[in-house]
Amino acid sequence: MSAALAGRDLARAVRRSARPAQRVAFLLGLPALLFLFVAFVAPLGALLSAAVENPEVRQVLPQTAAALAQWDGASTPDEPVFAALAADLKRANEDKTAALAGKRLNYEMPGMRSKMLSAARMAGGASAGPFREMFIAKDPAWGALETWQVIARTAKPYTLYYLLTALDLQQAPDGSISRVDAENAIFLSLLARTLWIAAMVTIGTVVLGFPCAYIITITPPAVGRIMLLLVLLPLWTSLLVRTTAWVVLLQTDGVINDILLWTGLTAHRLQLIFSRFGTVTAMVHIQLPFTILPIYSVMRGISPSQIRAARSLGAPALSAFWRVYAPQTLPGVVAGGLITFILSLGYYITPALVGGPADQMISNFISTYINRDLNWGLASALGVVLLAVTLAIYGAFLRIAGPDRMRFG
Amino acid sequence: MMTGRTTLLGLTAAACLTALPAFAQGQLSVMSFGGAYQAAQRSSFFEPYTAKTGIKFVEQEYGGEIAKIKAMEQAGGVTLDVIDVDGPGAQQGCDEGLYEKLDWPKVGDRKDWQPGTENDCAVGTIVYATVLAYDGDKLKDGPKTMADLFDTKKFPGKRGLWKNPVSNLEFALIADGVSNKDVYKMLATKAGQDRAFKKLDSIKKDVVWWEAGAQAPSLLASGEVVMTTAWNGRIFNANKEGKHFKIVWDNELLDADYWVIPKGAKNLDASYAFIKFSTSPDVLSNFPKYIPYGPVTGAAAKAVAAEYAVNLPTSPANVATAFATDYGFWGDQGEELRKRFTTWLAQ
Amino acid sequence: MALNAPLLRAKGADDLVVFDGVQKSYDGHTLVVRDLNLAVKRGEFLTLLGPSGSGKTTTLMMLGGFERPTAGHILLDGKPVEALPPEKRDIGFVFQNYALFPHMSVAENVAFPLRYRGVRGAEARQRVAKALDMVRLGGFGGRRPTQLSGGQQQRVALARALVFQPKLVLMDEPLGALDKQLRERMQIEIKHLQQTLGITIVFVTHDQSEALTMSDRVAVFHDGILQQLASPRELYDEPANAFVAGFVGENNFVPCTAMRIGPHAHALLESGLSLVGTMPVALPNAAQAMLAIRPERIGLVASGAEGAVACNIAEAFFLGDHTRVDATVPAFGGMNVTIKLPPSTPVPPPGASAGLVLPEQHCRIIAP
Repeated sequence: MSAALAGRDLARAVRRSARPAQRVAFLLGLPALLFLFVAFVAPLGALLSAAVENPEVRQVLPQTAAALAQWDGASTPDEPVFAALAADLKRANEDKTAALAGKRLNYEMPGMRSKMLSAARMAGGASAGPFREMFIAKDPAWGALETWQVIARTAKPYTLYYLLTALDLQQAPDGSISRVDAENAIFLSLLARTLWIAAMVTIGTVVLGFPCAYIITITPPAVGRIMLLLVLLPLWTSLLVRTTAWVVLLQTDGVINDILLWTGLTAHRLQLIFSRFGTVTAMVHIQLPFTILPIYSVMRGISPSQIRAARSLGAPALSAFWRVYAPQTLPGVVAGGLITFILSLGYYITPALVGGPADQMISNFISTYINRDLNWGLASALGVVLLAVTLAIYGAFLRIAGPDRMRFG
Repeated sequence: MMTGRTTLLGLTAAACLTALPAFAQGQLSVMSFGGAYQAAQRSSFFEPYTAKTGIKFVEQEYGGEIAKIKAMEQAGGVTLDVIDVDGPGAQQGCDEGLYEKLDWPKVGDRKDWQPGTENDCAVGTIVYATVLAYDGDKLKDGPKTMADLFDTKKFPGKRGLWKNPVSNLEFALIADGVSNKDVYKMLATKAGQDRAFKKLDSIKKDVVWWEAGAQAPSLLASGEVVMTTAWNGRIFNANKEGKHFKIVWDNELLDADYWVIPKGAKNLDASYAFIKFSTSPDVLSNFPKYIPYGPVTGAAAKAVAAEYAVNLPTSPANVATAFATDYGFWGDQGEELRKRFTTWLAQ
Repeated sequence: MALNAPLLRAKGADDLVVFDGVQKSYDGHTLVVRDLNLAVKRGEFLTLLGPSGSGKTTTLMMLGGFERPTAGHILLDGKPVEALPPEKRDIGFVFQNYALFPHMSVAENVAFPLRYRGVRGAEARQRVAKALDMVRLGGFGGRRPTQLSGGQQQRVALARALVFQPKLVLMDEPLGALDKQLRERMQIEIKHLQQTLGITIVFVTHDQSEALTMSDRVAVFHDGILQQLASPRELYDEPANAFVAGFVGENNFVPCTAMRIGPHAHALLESGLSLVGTMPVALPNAAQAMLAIRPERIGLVASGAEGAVACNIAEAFFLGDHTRVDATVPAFGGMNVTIKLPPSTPVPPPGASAGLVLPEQHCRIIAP
């Protein structure tokens, strides 16, 4: 037996003997994997699919959808399609589901909801054709090519509508994609606003958190521990409580205005709440621990002899701090800033309570579309856009800073 | 007190006669809006019903997000038997098939309900109003009409509005001189919508928007606004806690709350029995004792004790210039108007 | 000034550093360094030796400018420097864990002090290259400190502290993190560099063998007090007190009373035995003292030999280069004495009686 062969056998034997241990390790990790799947992968998949799913029209108008599959799309369809529509709507009228499909069509063609409802009522009473003339007599829209192009499009299992809308794009009945008019465009500026607020909060927390972390690092451990506790303390109260506290502080009759008036810094009460200033201030306060902790943990790892070495080599105090200490804190600053930036992108309660209408962020709109408008598709699409932007920013950071320039603790 | 007990006794007797059959679990799950409102429901509906039938209530609270109902039904585990929904919730949920289609004879005579407070899947219970309110302690000579809400010369300062197109577009047109009878006709046209938004534009920078009902009185209390639109019960309750808020009943906008049965509810008969009980005149007329929301059935409205009737949106003194939210209109046009409102807000 | 300058120079032209009555306290009442008077000569390798908490590192930090003395003066080149910040002192400092800047390359690290002295461009590159060559790290300039071994990092720190030709180099236990072999090699390397370049080094360590190997003179610290300042040989052979005798090398101690009778110094033991010895520092008569004898200075002879002190062998260990014997001495109150014998010497079995030879010139009678 050659040496090489023996080596290969040996390697295989080693691998085989390691296998039971690997199996045990896998089993131990299984709960975490399952949790990750249930709590992260599955909802993410649901989110992605909800952004493109298109079930309403297919559900309510199954025969029409089937009939339209053979339609050439060049001219208004013929009687069989109308007959299928009549049959579908008759059923929908009984089940009270016409509004469901109407609402979906309405997204892409305003006014379709009421047309569907009245057509459903008509179909409920009609028994024999020809249906084509009957529908067109009820509303000329049923004879328009555009109406049918939109119905055919919404009858497909998947749609780009929500994602396009989330990017301020629209699809004309003929399928061409264009920007929406300026007066209806909100989502791109909303995205820009969300990024801008998150950036301001990040800068604010770094500017305030960096000196704070430094002071905690250089004070005697006993004092430092208390200061660290004070930094962490707010994390033990709920986000809502902290936000409400800011409402009390910032409101026009609130503590901050009282103090400003009393000290004579201002002559009249300032509008602090329901403003961008209030939103950013409250968010900075809430995010501060998330920025401080990684910076602090990196600073604690920097030996005091670093500054001493720099001083002994000729650097004045400030220069030593700036050239030697500060660059070494960068991994913590990048990590803390990134955590805060990404968390800030998803803020919801604070802008809702402390911000004005011009300070609402993407999450506030997602919540509106989920809770009030029941437009889960658009909510998901906005979620997908936010997720994509977040990942892109994270990726850009990794490229610029490199994974080794980031330390979370 | 005496009458209350006799009523209860009478009801118990009636219940024994009607011999209630299959309440298998002996409990009923209800979901409502929480707070003082649900407390009032507890005192006037749930507790008497438990006393009468032995059926216990499992209560949940929500903020009117019918998304929760939709999610529950999509997940397939409908655990609720009866849900309290607001007007838009009743309309939208009905349109989208979230509720059981009602077998009205099991509830009562549909004709007893005031028009618009019943539909195929929702049973109206009480009427509340969106009104204009201000702090009597801070403003001696307060606003008198809906037009004053938009008059920043006469009443400078911020005003609170509900962050929702519903009520604001109506009030804007009324303040602009449209009669409340023509409001929805006007709003159905592009010109009318433009007119309403233009009127809102005139105070846009002076508006503080509220979302939860409790925010309106707290905005008034903190002095954040000089006046606000609000739900009348919230103002009444704030006054119970020592405030001196005043309600301007001019052009009050009426809305109803409804019972619905979520589609797929397990215990339909029990749900029906409870809805029938709570909307019976004797029971429903007791409700304003706890919160000033008026019964929607004619018989119950008549039976409300005089001392509570005066605070109701439906009392003769208050109702003169009232008008009701047109859910049909909002069902048809809501989508576009909501979108336009959201865009307008964000710009 | 014109009057003073020559005076100062005359007083200690050879002294680069003078500690003059220096005290240091962190909390206001406990003195970490008490009344330190010490001069470092130009071109000298001086080691501050002592256990942790003895005040040696504080002394170094005061010299480096990182701590201010509570009282007294530190003169550098004849001028007081207490108020001078570290960067103005022109002192190279090598720290315990090297304190290399991890975000800079090796060359950038070494060039760092040059930047503050206006040395840039080609000249800086040339001096960095020279300094790296000097520590045998030519060609490593482009690496990051984290990519180097401990010994290499140590040499970078050395190059960085030397590249700007400071008048004085301080080293704070710089070899503590290295393994034994590497440490011994570095000791010799540093010593060679110091001799070649003729620089002055103040070195802090708690390792007495390191201090003996490298230093021209050693200052032994204990409890904030300078115990003895002497050359390694002197320190070993003529310790000033029991602490120095015990801290530097191994020693046997026997409590005794000091007596000077005629020209001889006597140690009177409790058992009545009187031994003749030497007294490096004069002690008053009848003072409580210690008799200190190095293990390798004790001879082992047959029991009953003349002039020998009787003992019983307790244990013996063969250690390769020597044999170590523990013996119980009745005349020392039953104390154990350690003896180091050349490896070839025959040792009686445990329990056997023997005699100890205690040569007069190696019996030190010192303060306890």
